[in-house]
Amino acid sequence: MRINNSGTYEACRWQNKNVSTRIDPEHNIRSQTPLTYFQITMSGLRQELLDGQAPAMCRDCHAMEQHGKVSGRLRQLLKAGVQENMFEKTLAGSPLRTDLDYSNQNQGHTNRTVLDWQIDLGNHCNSACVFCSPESSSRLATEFLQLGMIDQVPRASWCEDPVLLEKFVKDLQACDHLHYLHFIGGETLITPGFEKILTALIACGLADQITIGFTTNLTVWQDDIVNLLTQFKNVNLGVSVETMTALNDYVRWPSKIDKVNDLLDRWIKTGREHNWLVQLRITPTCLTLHELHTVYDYAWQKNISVESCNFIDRPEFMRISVLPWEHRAWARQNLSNWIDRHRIATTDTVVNTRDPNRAHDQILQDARSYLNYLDQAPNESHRLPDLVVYLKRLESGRGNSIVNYLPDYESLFRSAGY
Amino acid sequence: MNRYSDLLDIDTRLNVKLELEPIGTPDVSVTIADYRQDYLLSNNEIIDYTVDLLQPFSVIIELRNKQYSLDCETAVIFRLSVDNIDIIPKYDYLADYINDHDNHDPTSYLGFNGKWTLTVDRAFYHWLHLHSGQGWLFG
Repeated sequence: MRINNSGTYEACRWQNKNVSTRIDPEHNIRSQTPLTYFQITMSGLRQELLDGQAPAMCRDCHAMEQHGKVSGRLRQLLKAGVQENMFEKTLAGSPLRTDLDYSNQNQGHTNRTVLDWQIDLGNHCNSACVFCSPESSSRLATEFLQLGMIDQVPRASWCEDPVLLEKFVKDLQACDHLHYLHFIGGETLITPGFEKILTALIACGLADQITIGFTTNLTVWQDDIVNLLTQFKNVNLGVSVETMTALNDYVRWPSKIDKVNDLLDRWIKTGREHNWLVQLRITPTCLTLHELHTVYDYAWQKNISVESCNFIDRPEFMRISVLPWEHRAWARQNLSNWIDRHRIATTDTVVNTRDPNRAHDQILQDARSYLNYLDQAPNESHRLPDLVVYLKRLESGRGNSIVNYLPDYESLFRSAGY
Repeated sequence: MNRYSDLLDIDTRLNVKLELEPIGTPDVSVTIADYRQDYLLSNNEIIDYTVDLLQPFSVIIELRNKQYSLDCETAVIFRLSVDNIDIIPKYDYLADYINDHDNHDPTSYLGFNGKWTLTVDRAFYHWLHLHSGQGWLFG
């Protein structure tokens, strides 16, 4: 279950954002307990799934699976012991079978409480990545406002209200067998709500049963937060990087690749000291796909997995499919060459992408999904002029230029109005 | 897509397949759940048995009456699969091997008098989930 920036509950962290009601006063921490939402409001969705329907909110996951990418749907099923390649028998033997039977006989109702949360903490962020949005970056929001691209910055997050934050921690305490909390920013490390929730969970004695997940942008380090994290059962740490080259500076502006590398090494070292799970988190776009192999290469050498949530859908002009065929061929060749140099005998799909023993398999699987996407996604190069207009607006304030970072794309951008 | 109740309308048994390959003529006893049979093997033997999807079970192979001789080896090599999923030798380190040579190394080659036991101590697919690196299992 998820609580988004507005305090609205959502059933699934991967649900299609076009279907998701971003601000829903009725199903919101201000008006409803998460337990009521989970047990009662979600009954309709639960029944829909039990009836064998494919809700529209699941569209993104089904799209990922078409390109051989392991979706959130498959990963969540696996946590219930259900594997797609032996669906019926693993479903019949699922540890949640009794609960599923109960829901099936009671119009989707459940007596369970939430085990696994995604907690959106708002947009407090010191970075302004070019593919990000004001809802996820306060710095980008300010920039958009100055450039006249938005009329007002997004509303403050629910977790900036101390009363709501206290209420939410109490709601978490009411969950039986609470297992995993995944935090989303902004940059979580500098978001006050993150530290407050961690501190409260430690104070109420829940830390040793909970695994904390979050992603950091590799521009900050907070000793006090690291000290809090060491008190939890475990930590799933995501570190965001798009390429291991200077192009990363442009895309994840205003980061600097030397500092990114230093912090990356520091997080990996700290993660190993505390037996945390560290993963590289990527958001490949049409600007970075041809250098994506540099991230795979780094991860391969360090034996850590690489995870991207889905194929980027918005902004539309950042989609990989915006690349014309000849540029796709270039990206494809880089990726294909890298895969050819790193072949290993892989026989099955790695659904548990967090298995540290399968990092190499998982990296190859991820790389192949992008190869598949390059081959099959429709040509959307008609969006290139929109991309150029957008980049020029950002560059007018930032004083940088994409052609300095992507000289081989200069003629492409010029032809689209750069 | 199928309804939940349709998905559960299945055969709730597991197909356990044990393939035995003799070296010499080993005297072997095989137990799979509540099935037990003695064999004096001279040829390859395939044992197919079904067990309940949700019940724990054990597979026990015992080599008996071997006369240790430098001239003539007696042993049994075996492979085990469940629902066509390879279990042994892949997961041989999960078995207990107690024998008269105190050799407890993981193996699918039984060359000592003694008992080799693989215990699936919970529903098979839970057991497989835990031992095949599938991560968290909520229950």
